[in-house]
Amino acid sequence: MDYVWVSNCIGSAKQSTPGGLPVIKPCTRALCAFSLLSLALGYATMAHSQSRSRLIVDAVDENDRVTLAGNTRQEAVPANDHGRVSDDTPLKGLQVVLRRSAESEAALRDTISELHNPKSALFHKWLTNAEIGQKFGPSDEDIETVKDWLASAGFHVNLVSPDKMVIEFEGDAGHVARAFHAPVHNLLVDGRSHIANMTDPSMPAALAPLVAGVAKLNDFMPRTLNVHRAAAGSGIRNGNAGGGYFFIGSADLATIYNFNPLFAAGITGKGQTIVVIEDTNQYNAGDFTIFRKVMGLSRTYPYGTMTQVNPAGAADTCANPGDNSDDTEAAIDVDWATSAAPNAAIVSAACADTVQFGGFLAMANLLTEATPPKIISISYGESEANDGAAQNLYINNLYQSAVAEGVSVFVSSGDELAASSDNGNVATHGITVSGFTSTPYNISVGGTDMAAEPLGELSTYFNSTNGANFLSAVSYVPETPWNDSCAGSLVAAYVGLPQIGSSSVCNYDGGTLASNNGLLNASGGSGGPSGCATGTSANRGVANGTCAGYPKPTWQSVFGNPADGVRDIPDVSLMAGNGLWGVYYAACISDPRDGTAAQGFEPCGPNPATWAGFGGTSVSSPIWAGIQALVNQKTGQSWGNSNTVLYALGNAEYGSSGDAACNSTLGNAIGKSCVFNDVTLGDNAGACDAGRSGTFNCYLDGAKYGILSVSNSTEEEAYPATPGWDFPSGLGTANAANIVNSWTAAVASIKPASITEK
Amino acid sequence: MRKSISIIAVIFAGLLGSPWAKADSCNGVSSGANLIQNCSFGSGTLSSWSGTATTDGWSGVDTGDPLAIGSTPYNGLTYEAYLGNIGATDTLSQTFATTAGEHYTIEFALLNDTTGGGEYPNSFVATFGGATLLSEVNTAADGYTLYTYKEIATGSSTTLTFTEENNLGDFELDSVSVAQTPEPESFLLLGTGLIALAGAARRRFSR
Repeated sequence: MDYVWVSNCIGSAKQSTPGGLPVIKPCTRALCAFSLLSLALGYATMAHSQSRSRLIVDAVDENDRVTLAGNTRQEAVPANDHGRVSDDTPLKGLQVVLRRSAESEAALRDTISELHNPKSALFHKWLTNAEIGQKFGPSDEDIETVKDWLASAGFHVNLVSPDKMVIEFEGDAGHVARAFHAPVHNLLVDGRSHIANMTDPSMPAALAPLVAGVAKLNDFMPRTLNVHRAAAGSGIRNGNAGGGYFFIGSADLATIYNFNPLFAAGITGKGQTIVVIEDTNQYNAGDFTIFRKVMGLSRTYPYGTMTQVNPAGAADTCANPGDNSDDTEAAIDVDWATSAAPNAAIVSAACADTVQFGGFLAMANLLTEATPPKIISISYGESEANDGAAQNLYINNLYQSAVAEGVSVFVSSGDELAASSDNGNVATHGITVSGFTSTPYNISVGGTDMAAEPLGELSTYFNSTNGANFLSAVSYVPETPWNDSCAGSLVAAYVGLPQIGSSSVCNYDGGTLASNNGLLNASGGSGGPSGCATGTSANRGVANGTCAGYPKPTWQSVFGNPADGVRDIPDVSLMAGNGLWGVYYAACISDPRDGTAAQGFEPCGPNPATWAGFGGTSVSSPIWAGIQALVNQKTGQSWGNSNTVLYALGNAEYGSSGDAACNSTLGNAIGKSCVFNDVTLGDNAGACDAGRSGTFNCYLDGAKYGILSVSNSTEEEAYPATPGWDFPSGLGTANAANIVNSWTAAVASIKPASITEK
Repeated sequence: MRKSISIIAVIFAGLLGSPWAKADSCNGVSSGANLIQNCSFGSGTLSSWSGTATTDGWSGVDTGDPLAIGSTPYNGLTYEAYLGNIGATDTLSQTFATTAGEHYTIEFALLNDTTGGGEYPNSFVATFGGATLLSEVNTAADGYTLYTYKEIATGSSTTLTFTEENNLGDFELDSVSVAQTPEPESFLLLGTGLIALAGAARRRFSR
């Protein structure tokens, strides 16, 4: 059913029945102009949906094929190859990813712009998943052609997603080898068994106008983006007063990032729902309950709940995953979402992995529900180059549908500094970002660390004894990008060695110091430019060859953001340190399979200091989702792609030259009206090494280990924290009360041109 | 006759407590007869009580249990004690003078707001002079229940002790009373006396 929207000239809109004639009331010239524009758009949309033409025009010829380039994992190399899997190996959850015609894609993007334009009659008139398919999806005839081809190849087609962008099917490895000319092999990678295609798949060329590819033909799953607390006494950390750590508890979070005025005013997330996306069930719901009890949330904010769901969707495509090794991530997500929005309902949504990440299956099913959740947080990641072009498009389409439905999608930026293809190891694949977080449709959440210790101000910002609810933070604390690498400038300054060169921290004693303390690993908040959302890497895992990033969204224009033409991440940040500078997050996860009792993986006692400790952008993302819940409660509506408002807030604060009063290093003297704390101290530069197939984004300066750099030949550190927007921290970290209280004014300041979809 | 009724009223009030005697009474036991001080936590604190629950930070007094949304203190009272120690048991107790061999009635109201079990158990034990009155483990969430027991004191002082652990939620305790009760023989004598009085009165009126 197609709808048109009729402005009533007083800022609201009424829905007419399909084909119904609108009645335009007397209005001002300006308002009428908007009304007519909206009408034109509405009618254009309707007309578009009615005149959608077929994309598949040629007969399917198995001998006329196209290669689906850019869809082979970097691990799929002869050194890891252990031969083909048997043809009868079942492969479930295979997905053909579809693309729209250029006309349909443009129409959807225009509509999304209107949905986010406060001056449009379509503002916040969110679509349903099915409406997206009906208005902007491929024709049913084209979809039937693809389904027929899959069936003829021996596959069983399970479903077509309501937004018409995915056809899910299943079969066995023999079917895949014959249909896509891409045999699936057994791999052994770092001691773990996997399956993956060794070459890019191909398909009949006739299908290519509609079919972008198969999302995944491998079982590599995304990384959970949490890092255990640094072991006491390890690393360059020499401890603080007493040699111990400060864990961040819920009360600390509320103090540092100024949640308390909101809580006092009753803005606590009551009536809101935050969904954390997982591929595991919670290990023990009691972990969440005792977290809230010990942190002092349950008695003060009694409406906070946690529910475990396995959303089936219309085609019952969600297998219950039980609880698996990712349940630590699931626990962190619910613990810290409830800390930011303590009266909100937290939903942990999970499906079992197929060849697709189970979390995406859960999310896709949730988006088809009659009332989809309005806030989603995802704490998993995989680099764009490793995802491959088809999987990147799958993710982009999924998030695109989400924002068109009014859902705000928060995604961790990654825990690998600017080297997401290296899975946390020393960087050898150059600058890469996670495809889970680089789309234009999600809010990418990066990570910072507390800079009190490197600034010698630990006692200024943390009391040595806890107050009520384990509160030790005194105020806002100066921040630096979260960076556990020996290549970081703060680490170098702290130990008194150069940041680069043969005598640097990374190369000291032949690299032994850094290696023994894990400082060569790319561990810290990710941030960088989108570089391989489409195209094919010349060197697997590297953003080169024909790789290209997502075009820069029009809303991503703010002081500090480079004119690089691509989507840059992250958008915002929050504390994500895991203890290098003495501060980490406590979370309650009692699963003994995830760690030792000494590490805190046991039933949680009354003192969170004994619990498991973490850092990672998997903590900062659900907290930002919690902030969104506070915004939604205060404003009484959902906001879809909140970047349109966050960047308006950023522009108001930073203007054309930044705002020195909001510099994070001011700590407790930072401006009271700052919406973002502008992180300017340090960097997210990681250590790098020459890779197997070359040296990428690595300035070695004649040493064994270099620093991740835009250039191999000169030092262009990737990346320093700078005034305004920057790659390590985006717009900065949050003053939660100021963000929520400034939200409505920022919306009013949005210029339509700043949110126009390209 | 008026004198006889007055005597009876006094006897009953002394033995069973008077439900109309005082507003802060617990379970109909007057504050004078109730051996428990601060029986309904009407001071808004755990004063008069002792034990680790008074200092460990996981117990206190509230005016309604937020974990059991909508619940209020027992039977219209203003306050209730919440008890929710984590990882180990704690105690809340009061010691009072008793007479060895005498009978006592012990009553208290108890609520559990969160079902426990597995890694995060709950347990609640009530003892009177070391004798177990109630012992529960991993009870399900439920509203208030009034428990009533009759025990014989064994010494000149007796301690009523509540021992609990509730990792996920809290027990709510309210309206605690301990009062001396007549021995069964006393009731028998009293009943005989009453029958005699009634017989005498009947004879008098029948004349």
